Amino acid sequence: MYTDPGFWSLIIAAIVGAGLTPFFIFRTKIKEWWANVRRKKQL
Amino acid sequence: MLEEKSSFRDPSGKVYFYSDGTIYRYIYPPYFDAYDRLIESGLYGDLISRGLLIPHDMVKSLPSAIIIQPVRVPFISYPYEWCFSMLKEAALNTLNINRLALKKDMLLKDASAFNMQYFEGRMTLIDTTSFMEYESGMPWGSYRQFIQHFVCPLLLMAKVSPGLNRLTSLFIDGIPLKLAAKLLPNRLHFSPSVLMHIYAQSLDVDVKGKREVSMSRTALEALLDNLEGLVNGINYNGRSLWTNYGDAGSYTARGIESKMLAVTGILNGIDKGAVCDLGANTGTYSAISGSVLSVDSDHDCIDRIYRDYESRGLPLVIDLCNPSPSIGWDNTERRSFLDRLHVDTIMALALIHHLCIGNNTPLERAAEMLSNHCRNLIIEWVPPEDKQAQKLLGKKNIPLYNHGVFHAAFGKYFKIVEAHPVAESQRVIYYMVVT
Repeated sequence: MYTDPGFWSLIIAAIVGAGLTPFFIFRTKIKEWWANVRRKKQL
Repeated sequence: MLEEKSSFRDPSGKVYFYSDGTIYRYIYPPYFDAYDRLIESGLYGDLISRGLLIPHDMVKSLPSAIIIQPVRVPFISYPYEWCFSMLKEAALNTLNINRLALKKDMLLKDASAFNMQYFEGRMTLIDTTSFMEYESGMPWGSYRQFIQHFVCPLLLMAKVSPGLNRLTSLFIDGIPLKLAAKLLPNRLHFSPSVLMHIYAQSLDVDVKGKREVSMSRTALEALLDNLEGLVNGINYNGRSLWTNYGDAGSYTARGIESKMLAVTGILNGIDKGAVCDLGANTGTYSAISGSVLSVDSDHDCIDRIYRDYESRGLPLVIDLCNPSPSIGWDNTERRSFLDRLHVDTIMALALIHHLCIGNNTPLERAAEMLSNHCRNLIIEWVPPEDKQAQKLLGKKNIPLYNHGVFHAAFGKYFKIVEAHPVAESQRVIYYMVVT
């Protein structure tokens, strides 16, 4: 890496990432559940 | 063997050109482990199958360097020459590449828009040495670079003016966050993503007692997911005067037909090779000629070509009266547009009056410039009496813009082979070859 990541920028990235984690996990689980439902329907 | 002038920053490798046009990338020992992981993890194969990374052949593996030969990109273009849709696709592909890399325990160490190029119809990563091994807790170090190279210009283009993309030529490592925050409309403060990624980040607070920042893999995935949502949500649907211009206002139905017949007749009768359509408008003649390059100064026309034509060549936003200059270190890091423009055939249809009346360029200078970049020229003469030429002329007086001077000026650099008058018009389509 030849670009300074910027300490403050990394803090913002960490805050955004951590703040969105619960929502992201919930959405991922819903997507997986829905994919399973569709797969079962096709079978 | 010549070193590619833009690869000097990267300690992982260098790019060299040979006189026959082949390219070699030398990968140095500090990057050996990451390169091995890229190949062995299957990430390289995955990215190639999706058209997201430029393919390469392994040439030689030496203790001092691994030498690979990437496929050559036909025409290198820069972000400040792209339309909104191209930059957006490049941003989304960068995020997609990063997400696929993370699945294989790798991350993009650079998120520079210059690493993306138009290749086989899509925006593709050309820097094989852009990957690093991911370690648990590692944040994405190129996050700020991604925001400056992609998110800031996309927002500025969509919310302020598409012309602001040219700011990326002034700020070669991305638009500074403070500048973007000042230029963007205040209402964007209400968008939580823009608030965090641009406004909050632009505060650049000097935190005392700096420690390592760590974030979980899930948090990193959530960040990438959020950035993808942000980029996907930025839309631009501009329609300028020129997107509806076409041929309708300048020709009768018979005129359009005869112009089309003249152009296709010339193209079918010559060894056209690589064609560049200068002043492409919405790409009608680019499509007919199978142009590899379509150029227009109007952003919205180029954006429309990019969105509408699937089998298009590379469309670029270039003002021929002020084309992209050479920029960067030693003025050689990013080459000027005209320095890169070497094609077999140039089409300049309904363009000459814009160059010579709109910009007061003498006809001889226009002929000289065109002769330096092609061997065949298909050009449309638009006389000063023409309706569109009259609009540009207004109260200007340009006595040396006439048919006689046109013949003399172009005859100095070209041999005039064919002339096809456009029906029910005073315009003429010429086919010329460089002498």
